[in-house]
Amino acid sequence: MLLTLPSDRGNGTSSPQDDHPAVIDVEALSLTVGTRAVLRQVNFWVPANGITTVVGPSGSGKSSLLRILNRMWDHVPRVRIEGHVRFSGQDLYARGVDVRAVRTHIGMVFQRPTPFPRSIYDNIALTLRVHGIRQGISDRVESVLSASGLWDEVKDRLLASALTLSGGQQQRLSIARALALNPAVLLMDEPQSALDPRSRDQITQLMLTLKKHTTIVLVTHHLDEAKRVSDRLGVMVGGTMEVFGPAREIFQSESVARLASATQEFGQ
Amino acid sequence: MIRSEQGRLTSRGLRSLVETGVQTGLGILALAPFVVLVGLVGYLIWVSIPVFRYMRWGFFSHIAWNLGNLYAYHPVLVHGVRVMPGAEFGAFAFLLGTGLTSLMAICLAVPIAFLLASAASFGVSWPWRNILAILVEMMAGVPSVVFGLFGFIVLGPAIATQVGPWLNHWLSPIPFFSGPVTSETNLLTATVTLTLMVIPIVATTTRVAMARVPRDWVDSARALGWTEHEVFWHVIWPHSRAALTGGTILGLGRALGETMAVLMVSGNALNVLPKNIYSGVSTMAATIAGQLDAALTDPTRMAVHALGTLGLILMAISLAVNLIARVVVVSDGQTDHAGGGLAHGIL
Ligand SMILES: Nc1ncnc2c1ncn2[C@@H]1O[C@H](COP(=O)(O)OP(=O)(O)OP(=O)(O)O)[C@@H](O)[C@H]1O
Ligand SMILES: [Mg+2]
Repeated sequence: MLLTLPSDRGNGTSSPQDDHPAVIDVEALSLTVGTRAVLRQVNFWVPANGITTVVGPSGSGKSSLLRILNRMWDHVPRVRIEGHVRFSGQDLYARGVDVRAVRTHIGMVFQRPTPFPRSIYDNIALTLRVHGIRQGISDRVESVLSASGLWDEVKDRLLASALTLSGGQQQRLSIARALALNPAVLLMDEPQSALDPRSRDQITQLMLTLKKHTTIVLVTHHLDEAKRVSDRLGVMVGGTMEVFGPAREIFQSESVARLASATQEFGQ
Repeated sequence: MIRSEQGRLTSRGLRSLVETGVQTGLGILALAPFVVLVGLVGYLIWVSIPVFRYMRWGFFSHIAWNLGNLYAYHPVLVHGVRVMPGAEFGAFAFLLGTGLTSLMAICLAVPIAFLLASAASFGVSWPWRNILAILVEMMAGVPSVVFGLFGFIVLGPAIATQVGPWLNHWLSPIPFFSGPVTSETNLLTATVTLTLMVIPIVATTTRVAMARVPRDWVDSARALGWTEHEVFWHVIWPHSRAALTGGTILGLGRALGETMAVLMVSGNALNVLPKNIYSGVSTMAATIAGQLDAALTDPTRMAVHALGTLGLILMAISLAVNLIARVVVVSDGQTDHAGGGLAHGIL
């Protein structure tokens, strides 16, 4: 079974708590690696076209949760996943789901920039070619580089090695590469934490632009950052989702005090 | 007050004395490799001079290796060097033997090692990949005499009775592969034995580089929806290519210098060139070890000098291989950080 996407992306299953439709819906999710319970009974959902942020102390399972959403755990031995993970209403872990399709619809950006040791152009072109796309590659390269705010900086040296870019540029290239497949959801695992303040800011701006038509799930260590960009916020502690709701409410409510004290330990 | 100042001064003086001593000691120690290398090369060159005066460049092109008439009453004087009458020292057969066995072994070993490394880092599933990695690493630690014994007892007979005739049957149109299989110790046995010894070196070097590819790179390629195959070819392979080159050259170094195993399985043919892969051969390293006793009976010492000259050539080839490896790996490493750096570290 190939994963199909409704023509209108926002048209997934609705979550009862909110009037926004959920693109991703996680229900009673538990993740066990070997004998270790990494995630326990996690419930959370992601509305379309916004930024859903997960914060929490180091080791609380934020990355693990993100990696559930594009089935990255498939490559780790002795992993048990229980519960439901739905994308546009379809169970991601149902039998016969094409992992390739899952990852085409749900892209991912990592903490460290991951440019392949090839040219800037090839980083994106190869991504497309691997998926059998042969036509309109250079247009696509230009459009995703523009979308990630990198085009003006690199248009004169597309054939230079991607490794010659600065860290911030490399990260935006990684984002551009993830966008090349036109994913509905972009998972971002601390995309700014390895960067200098200016590059961080550029990525923040970029996320705010992208969220207009892409659903972003962000993991971050920076509460300020989370406050600036998040539409919904989840706080993970020890493998469970302690708080989850509209970001503004959480930041205003009393739980923010708890949040702040919890974040003391995971501030940089 | 003054005394305490003095005391401090003294202890500082002592400390600086110790430091100077340590630094001088380390400096002398750091010179040691240089001294050893220069001493070794210098000695081998000195030993080789009379050989080249006697044989001229014929040392490289002559096939015959003959100590001459050791029962002759007097040595004779040729080109100003004393030799036994009729002595001739030609290295050509050994050069060819070393080249053939090493290159053929590399050709066989590299594809197999590449497959093993790929399997151990990507192909098979956990826990098989760990088991495979450990087995390959253990293979690298087996003493060469054990490989020689295995080659002599197991491979030799198998090649003489099964593999050789089979190859001869199917490949006989190719001259070098056709011919009667008359012995158990021959070029093919030596090659296969060397192959077994080279595989773990190449495989381990490559596997380590493959395992060192940063997890984020692999993950981000997977996250782009690439299959494991595509991840391998577009991410793992570019990162480990330089290490495969480096490992191959390390393996070549091992094959060129391997003595014991080759001595046991090559047939130690003197004075003839191999007609095909079923002929006996001898290599430079094996000849040095195998002919030393005989050479010591030469009263003019010329035979020993000739073995020293073989050693000089072998060393020059090994050094050249090593240098080429560095150049290759460094130039590859410029486009490719992880693998190049790693192979660089190994070389
Ligand atoms: N591949 C794995 N195998 C076994 N355990 C793992 C694996 N990956 C993560 N874990 C465990 O899962 C727990 C959660 O890790 P995770 O990386 O999700 O935390 P995190 O919240 O992202 O932390 P950080 O803020 O440091 O990135 C940790 O205790 C970790 O040891
Ligand atoms: Mg993490």
